[in-house]
Amino acid sequence: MLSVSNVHKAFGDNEVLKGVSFSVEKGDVVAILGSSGSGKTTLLRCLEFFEKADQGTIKIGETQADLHTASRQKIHELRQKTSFVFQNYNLFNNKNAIENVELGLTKGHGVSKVRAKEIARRSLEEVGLADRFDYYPSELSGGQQQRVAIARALAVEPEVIFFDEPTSALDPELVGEVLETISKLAKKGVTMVIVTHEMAFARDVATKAIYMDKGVIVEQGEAKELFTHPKEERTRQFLSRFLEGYDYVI
Amino acid sequence: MRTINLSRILEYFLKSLPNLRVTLTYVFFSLILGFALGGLIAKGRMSRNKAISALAQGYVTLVRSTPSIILLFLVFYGLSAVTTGAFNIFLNSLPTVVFVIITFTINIGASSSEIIRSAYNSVSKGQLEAALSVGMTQLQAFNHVLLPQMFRNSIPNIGNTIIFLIKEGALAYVIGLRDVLGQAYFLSALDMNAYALDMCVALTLIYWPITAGLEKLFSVLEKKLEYKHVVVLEQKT
Repeated sequence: MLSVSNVHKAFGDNEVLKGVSFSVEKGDVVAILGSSGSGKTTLLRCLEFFEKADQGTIKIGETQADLHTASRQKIHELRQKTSFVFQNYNLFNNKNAIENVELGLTKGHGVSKVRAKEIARRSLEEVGLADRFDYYPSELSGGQQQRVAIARALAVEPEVIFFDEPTSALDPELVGEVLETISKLAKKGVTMVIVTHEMAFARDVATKAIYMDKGVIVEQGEAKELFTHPKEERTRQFLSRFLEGYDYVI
Repeated sequence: MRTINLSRILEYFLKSLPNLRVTLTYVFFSLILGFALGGLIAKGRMSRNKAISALAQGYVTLVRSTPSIILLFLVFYGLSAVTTGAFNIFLNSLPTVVFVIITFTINIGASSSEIIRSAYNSVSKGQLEAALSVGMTQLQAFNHVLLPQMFRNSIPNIGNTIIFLIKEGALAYVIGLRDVLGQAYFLSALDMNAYALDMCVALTLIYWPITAGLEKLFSVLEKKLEYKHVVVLEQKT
């Protein structure tokens, strides 16, 4: 359903992505793991055309495009099939929660105002914010903001939602509510690609896992398999700290 | 020693006040045209094309280092000289206020470009990406997400610009504009400037409440546009 092949991206001399390929089937929840600086976020941003990749192709459904040369029209077409959840939420500060969700529907997807309101209501209820419709981002906690952002991404019924470290900017006690929301979507069969550092979450919720290091995919496969029987030494090392259940006690 | 006379102040006040309409005319048009020009200049300055960016920067520097009064003379005499010399078009018949509007469009074009640029930078670009990610176009994202916030963030600066225009525009009496100040000067001249002090007091009494009122208006507007939800009280049954 989504396939990505041979993505290259360099910032100056720094080669961040060195030929990344993977594919996602409908209903998959793909976790992209890796230490900081491995290129996970850049990969996701290239797929949404926030960064211009140096090379590579993307195919969503029947729409295919070159990540480097895609026309404005093509980019727009592909973006209408995807949506994105950001590390720092990026809610529209001049809109309240329900308007944040509606805007993408009415402006981005040509849905009528009445219908958009209905969908927005339902989406916000789904992420547990039925009592926060008319609250502005500045009045919501980080966890609530991120859930509005998830509702916004969900409402446009994309073929796939990209999550870029959705819990990394949150206070620890707020991480749970966001992960719970994402798990709920996973159970409903929403296709998602999630860059995350939450290993337990990735193991339990993801169907597929991809481990990246230094701009390449070291290993990818069934999430359960990758966590329990990693084939590559590098994957094993990365997972070891998590698998051995180290706790930091100060 | 001269003394001021209340009835004479009142007379100057009442006879100059109707010309506020001229003041408001050039303020309105200079503001709109100036900000439109400022938008273009700001876009030019943020352009990736070095030549365009340098050109916009040069414009801002040049205009900002020209005193308004000199710019007024340059536009009033210079523009006519150029059009007459080059195209044999005489601008003499144009109303003076047109020259004033041109002058302050040039002037506000420079200063507002800085206002617009800082307003643009004050809105996080992540919101633009978010808008694009839900299928909006660049233009839709700008109109519905960036622009309202840019406007909200620059309300104090827009207010300052209007107040600046009302006061600075008074200089246009030197090219014969009959705005509030021009009219008062004219009346004063009829009295051989014998009562110049009365005239100045009358003018002060006109300018003060306008400026104070605008200040208040803009601070209220700024509060009104704060992005806060409105608590709707449940109707008692």
